Amino acid sequence: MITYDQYKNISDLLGVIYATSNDAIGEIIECQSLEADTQAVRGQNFDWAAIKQSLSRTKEIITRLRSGVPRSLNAAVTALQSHVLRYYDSVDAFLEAGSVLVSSDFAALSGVVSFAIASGNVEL
Amino acid sequence: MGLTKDNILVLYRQDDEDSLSFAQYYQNTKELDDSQLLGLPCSGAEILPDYATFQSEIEDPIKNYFTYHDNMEYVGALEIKSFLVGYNVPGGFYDGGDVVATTSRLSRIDWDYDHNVLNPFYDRKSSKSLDDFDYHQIKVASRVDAPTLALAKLMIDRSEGALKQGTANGTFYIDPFLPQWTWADQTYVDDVVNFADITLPNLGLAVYTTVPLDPYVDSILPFVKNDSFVWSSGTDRASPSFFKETGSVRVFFYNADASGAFSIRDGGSSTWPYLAISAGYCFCASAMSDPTGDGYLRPRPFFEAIISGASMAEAFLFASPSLDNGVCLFGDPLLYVKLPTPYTINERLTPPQSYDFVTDHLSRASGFLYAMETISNQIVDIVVGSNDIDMSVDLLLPCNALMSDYAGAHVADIVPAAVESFRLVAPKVSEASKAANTKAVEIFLAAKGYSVGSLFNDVLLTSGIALSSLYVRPSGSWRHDNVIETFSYEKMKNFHFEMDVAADELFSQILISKDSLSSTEGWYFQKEVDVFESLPSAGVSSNYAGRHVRYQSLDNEALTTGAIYYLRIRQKDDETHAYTYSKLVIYS
Repeated sequence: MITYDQYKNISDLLGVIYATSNDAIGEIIECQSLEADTQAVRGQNFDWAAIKQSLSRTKEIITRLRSGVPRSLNAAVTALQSHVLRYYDSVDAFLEAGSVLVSSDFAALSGVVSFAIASGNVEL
Repeated sequence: MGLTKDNILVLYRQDDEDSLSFAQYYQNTKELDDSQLLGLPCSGAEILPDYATFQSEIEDPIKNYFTYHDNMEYVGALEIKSFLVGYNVPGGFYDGGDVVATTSRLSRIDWDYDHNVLNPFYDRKSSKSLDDFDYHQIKVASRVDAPTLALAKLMIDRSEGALKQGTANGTFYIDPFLPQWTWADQTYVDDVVNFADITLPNLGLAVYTTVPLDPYVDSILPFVKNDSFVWSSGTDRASPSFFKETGSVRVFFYNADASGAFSIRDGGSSTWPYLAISAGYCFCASAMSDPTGDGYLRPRPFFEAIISGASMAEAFLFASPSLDNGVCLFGDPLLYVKLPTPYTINERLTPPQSYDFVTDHLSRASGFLYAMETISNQIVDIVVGSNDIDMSVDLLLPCNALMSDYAGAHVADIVPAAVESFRLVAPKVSEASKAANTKAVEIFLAAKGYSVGSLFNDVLLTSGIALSSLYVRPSGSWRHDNVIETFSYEKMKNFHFEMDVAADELFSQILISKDSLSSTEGWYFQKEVDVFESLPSAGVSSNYAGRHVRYQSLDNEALTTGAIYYLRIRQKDDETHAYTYSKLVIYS
């Protein structure tokens, strides 16, 4: 079965992906907010309508990556936790046995796919 | 917002019938409440001997008259934001060899006296008008005094006339050039020339300007006629014949000199304020003692404030580099004047600057997606490197799927928005011609001095735009923008910046540490809305709050493309302020 170190490494990386997708979405939101901060200059070919549409599309794509559609992120987390459950009654039991503390980002992601992690097993 | 008649306190001299008469005249004109007139137990001298006398005769009685709540001064139910220093009230006090104007001191009545203190509202970039919060920190104050009571009342009548006329449309006379004996004088002349070049052409007024003769010779306006504004510099005396006839409302006269306002009560005077007021000007500013080139009013913030809807007295405040000094304003603080121009001061981004920010954010998004791709590869590497068959069987397929979902996302997901962003500034970009697209984009980047990061360049390549390497930043280079904050309104301060870049969130592995106080190399600030300039060695002044400071990495500070680092930055003046934390993703 997976070692505690391997679990810690993989769960940390999955948590980073989850948080990083949030950062990427944040940048797109910042782009969108620039419309309000930009001068409307008559006679110049500066049209926010075109970029707004594409920004919305980009945001939607990244959001789907984050929220597990097309499911690969969710599937990876589910596979990791299901693997652990082959040997332990619960994910928390595994974590406690190895004194593993998962990152708060991973704990949040795990909760999304219905593998809630007790707060005692999450890094502060 | 703004000043109304309910925000003013009129000061008059107790037991002085003329002084009371003027105050009541103003009260009747503006329909003020009785509580808005305050008699002061002050002497009839135009200049008091020292600050202690000023405190006991003027400052303390005013403070005692106020009630305070919500950090604001009230008289009854009225919020006081401005003072009118009335007829026969002392116009200033001595501080050593200098004279400090009553109006200048009363502007800072909420703060301790600090001779020639730098004005925190001078040339403020974020807003050209004062709001309620600002009025907790500062007041506006002006003075109406004259050799005769009749002339003082006439100034009020003229202001009322100007208010009714609404728009000032006479000629703007400007003389930027005074003898430049000091660096401060040169800076003043540069600032006035900058105004004449940038702002003045947009005011909708006819302009008459002097030409430079010699840096050490004072150029002079010969006379003014059909004038609404005069901004002059140099010699502090003139003759009444300077002012010819006019059919336009005379709004504001300023002469940058050392002592024109020493006395406004001297009827035989040939000083500018007296002559200007006698010639019909509603508003006039001058100095009671030498403010030096550093202390002269600046026209650009003055007129930018007027255009933005500020009153004349508010505009004076924005134009004053320092306070608690001898520069004095004469006129009705409630006067608002419009200019015949649709021009507006815009703190919003220009489209090219907006494009720069859009592509910066898109590049960061691309960088984050690249990081996700890299991390998904690392996960697969861990699984593949495992000797445990169960683990490989359970995790390899889903982790491979994850990697494949993210592969190339940093390009594919960004392309649509990237292409559209170039349409904002390079309208020739089209699906039809890739060469034309590239040319149009390169012309724009060259004109603005912009470049793109390597990840964004990957995106552009996908859409057929193959930029020359001249427009692609070196691999691993990075930049960080931070909004400049201000922390106190007691005085203007200069800020420097400390910044750390670390490999970890706890900053236990700091990779790069910068301090702009030690070296300003790589540091820039947003001098104009769409112009970044190198940070001066003195730092950036607090009136730039709301704009950005930028750090652009040096050649030896390259980091790993697609990696995420942690950045913290803080401002420091005479104290060090709290850090702002953010992630730094490398997209070059």
